[in-house]
Amino acid sequence: MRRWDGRRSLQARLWIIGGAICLLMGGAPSRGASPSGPDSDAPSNRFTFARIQYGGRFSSRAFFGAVPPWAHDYPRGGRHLMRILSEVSLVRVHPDEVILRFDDPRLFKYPFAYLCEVGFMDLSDREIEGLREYLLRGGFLIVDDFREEWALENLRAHLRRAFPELELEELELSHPIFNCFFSIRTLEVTPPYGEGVPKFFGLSDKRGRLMMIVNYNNDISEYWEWSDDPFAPIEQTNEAFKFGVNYAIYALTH
Amino acid sequence: MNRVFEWLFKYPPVVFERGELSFAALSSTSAWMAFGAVALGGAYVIVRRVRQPLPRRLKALLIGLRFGVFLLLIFCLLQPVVIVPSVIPHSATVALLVDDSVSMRISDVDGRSRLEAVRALLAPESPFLRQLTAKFDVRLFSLSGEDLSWSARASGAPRAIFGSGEGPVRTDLGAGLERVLATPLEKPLAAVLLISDGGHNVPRDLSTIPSLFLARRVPLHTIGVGQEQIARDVEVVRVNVPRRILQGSSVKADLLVRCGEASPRRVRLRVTEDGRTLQSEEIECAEESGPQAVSLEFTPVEVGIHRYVFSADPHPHEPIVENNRVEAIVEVRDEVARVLYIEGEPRWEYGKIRAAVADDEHLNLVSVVRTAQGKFYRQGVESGEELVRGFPERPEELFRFKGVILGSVEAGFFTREQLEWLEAFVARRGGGMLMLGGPRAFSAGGYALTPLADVLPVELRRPSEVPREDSTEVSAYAPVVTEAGREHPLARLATDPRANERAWRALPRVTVPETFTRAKPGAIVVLEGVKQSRDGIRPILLAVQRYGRGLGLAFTPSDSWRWQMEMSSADLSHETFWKQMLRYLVSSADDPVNLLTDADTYEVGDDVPVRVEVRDELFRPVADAALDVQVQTPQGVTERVRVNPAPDSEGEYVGRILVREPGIYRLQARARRGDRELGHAEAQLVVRVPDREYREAGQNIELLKWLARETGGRYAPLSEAETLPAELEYVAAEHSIRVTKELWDMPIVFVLLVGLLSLEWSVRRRRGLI
Repeated sequence: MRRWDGRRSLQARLWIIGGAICLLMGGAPSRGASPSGPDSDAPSNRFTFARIQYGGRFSSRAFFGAVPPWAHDYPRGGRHLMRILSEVSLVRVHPDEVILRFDDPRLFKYPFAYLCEVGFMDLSDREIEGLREYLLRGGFLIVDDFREEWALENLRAHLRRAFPELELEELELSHPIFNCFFSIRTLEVTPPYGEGVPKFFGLSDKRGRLMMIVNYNNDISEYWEWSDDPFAPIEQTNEAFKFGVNYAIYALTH
Repeated sequence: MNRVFEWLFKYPPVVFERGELSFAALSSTSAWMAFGAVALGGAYVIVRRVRQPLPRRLKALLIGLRFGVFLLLIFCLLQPVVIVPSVIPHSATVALLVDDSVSMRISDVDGRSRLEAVRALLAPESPFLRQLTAKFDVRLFSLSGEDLSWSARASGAPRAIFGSGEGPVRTDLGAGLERVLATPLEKPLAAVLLISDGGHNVPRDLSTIPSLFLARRVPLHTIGVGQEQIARDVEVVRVNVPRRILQGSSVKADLLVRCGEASPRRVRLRVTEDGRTLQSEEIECAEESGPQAVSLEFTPVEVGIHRYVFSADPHPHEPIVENNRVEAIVEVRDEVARVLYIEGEPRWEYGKIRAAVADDEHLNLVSVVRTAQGKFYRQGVESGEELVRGFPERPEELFRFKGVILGSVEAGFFTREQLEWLEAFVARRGGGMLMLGGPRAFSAGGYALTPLADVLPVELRRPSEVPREDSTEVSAYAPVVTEAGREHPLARLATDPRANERAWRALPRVTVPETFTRAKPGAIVVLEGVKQSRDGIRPILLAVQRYGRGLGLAFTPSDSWRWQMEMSSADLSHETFWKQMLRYLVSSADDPVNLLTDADTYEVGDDVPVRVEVRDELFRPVADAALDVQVQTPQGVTERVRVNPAPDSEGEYVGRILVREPGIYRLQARARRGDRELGHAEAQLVVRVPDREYREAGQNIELLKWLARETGGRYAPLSEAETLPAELEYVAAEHSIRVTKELWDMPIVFVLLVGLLSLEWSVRRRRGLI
């Protein structure tokens, strides 16, 4: 939960503070939230947004209040994306996210997963094995909401453990993931906060299927989360949804 | 049995069957009755005179025994005779037709060859020949065409038949019998005796033969030689393999193997490709006699035309090793089969099927997924214009594909015309159509009243009758291979049957949005679903049927993607299943021009029928095509084959090739209509040195019996051949007279007389009456 840059007003600040309080008061998952419960048993014959939970020693800057880094933008980010996906396409969606770890076998019921704040991520060997299996079997992972070189390096270090044979590669606008539903016009997007230049990296398998997209120096889920806020900039929100919908359609068709 | 009868009754049974019983001394029935009454009275008087009172039963027994004795004596005094028609000695001819083909060299008659056994039958001292020559002039013919002008009284059987020569490599019983009937003889022909194993292995109908014999009033008697099932022989009867496959596809060869009763119980089968062993497998021979089905699976590596030999290793005492092998030709094609996949909504099934077949170089999955209303995402298309409206705009475009997959897409997505194209795609073009389970598929998709309802192997319901999707039914059914599906290529995840069973058992459960429990007649259910409790309904998961020239398939689950996501990444079950599915889907799709023969393998000397099918780009028959058909012999000589339009089938052209040398014959056909080339086709056939005589070489008793029965003759196995001369002798014909044969001195009369008196004496002695 972060602020977006510039143009913020007092009202927006109030909204953010109010929203944060709401989250703190009401049901945001705490660190180590159990993946059991109705969410993780959602009907897997519908398109379902699976959020990856991970452990680690989180510094104070990883938290926004009591929310652990893997839970940022939960639950409204995924919920809003599912709603939009359902509206603009014929995808049958499950409205709520499920929360699972990489080493949970139930994750394989949900081939579309979301992972954020990877700078704070510390995966065990079992989770690394789970990550590898998940992607090799055909799962698709969005890595979002992180910035700065140290965070990217932490992601790379984890990926080297999982896929020593593969490397992250920067994606270009011509990649099918940016054209499979909406034709995205530019990758020069405005991040909701931070100073870094957003980049899109991908990890592909030996057949060229993109298994993972990495939104570096970016947080498109932030736009999804605040899309129902009347003060959120509509154009950037729309663009964020285009990325999200394209990611889903790409995952479903490749 | 016949010999015992003949000893007791003095004459063979046929004399009593065909003769009339009479009494030379007295032919009146009333006199015969008077004699009987006197005998009865005499017997009573004799017994009555006994003063000692006797129990009633004993008295009756003694009267009966004495009465019997009197009766027999009276029978003899009346001079009993049988009057029977009998041929006038040497007034007629009997033709012996001996099968001298290669199969008669098989040694299965008490350690002798069939021909040696026949030679013994025809030896001058044999009772058979003595009886025959006593009454008839005998002429000997061989099936190979020689009237041997053989004198039966001469010593020794003719070398032409029984010599060490090879004999004819095929047997035509019809030609041999016709030749005998056509041969002019000095004396009328009384009967023909065919001595054969019943092997008839030329494409000639024997149904006209009986009428020829009936018209001449000549019976045909048959003597069967050889065992019906050759006890120590193992035979590979035949093999069935696909003629063409895509490179990388496995070949499932269905063999028929016959093991004799006394052959080893375990037999090793081998498949060799161009002389190199590809696979060998030991099989257990079935307990029951008759051919047993065996499947061998192998994967050809290289593109091209391959000659495969399927053989059973011979055992040391096997009488026929020539029938241990069969051959087949498989063309491994390096081509890319295009399959069209129409999906009505983005879902995991779509992407995971695409991913499963992505690395198959011989499949091009061209797909369209409707991502939103009126919005399509196309993959695998050849150009920016292809499938831009979500479906081919002309039937010619559709017919360029070899298979079509319909995902969760409702019937209303298509126009009526497009649905008719799809039906014709299967029925006429020979393509395969697969429908996948989903919320908009099958009955829920409104297909019940469309032409595609007939194509599918399951019965569709009206949309109102379809139960609503129930979220609790998610992944409810475990896939199970049915009995019928066990041998089906679609159910083959592993070559070894046990490994295959394990592979299916390990797969996760799937969801079936609409359950079907009954397939259409003629459809094969390959997979069905089983619930955790293993009770309740077992819905069809995969069914297949032939429809017209093509295939209709139904795969009812909506989430086979679980077989990918919920199995280890090292497990290839999902990929294997879908690659096989798509390869099977395109397997029935022919090219517009096809060159066909009725078999893969022939023998030197065969007249091979050739058929060319010519169709246009819409796969409609072309009746006015100009055809150029050529054949290249194994020696490399190219000859033109003349073909003519088939009278009964539009768009088909037929011709014949006489194959004269062993090896591979290559055929090629080019079809044109005016200036436009319609297409070309190739075919190959193996021509082998003749071995037909060794195939199914057991005695064909049924055929021999049928020939005899239909012509008024009789069948006898070789061991009972001696009974036949009597059959020929006692027959009413132009060259026969009625002869009277005395019966009073039949041994049976004296046996009975002595028996009755002995019994009476024994009874009296026991009772103290003497």
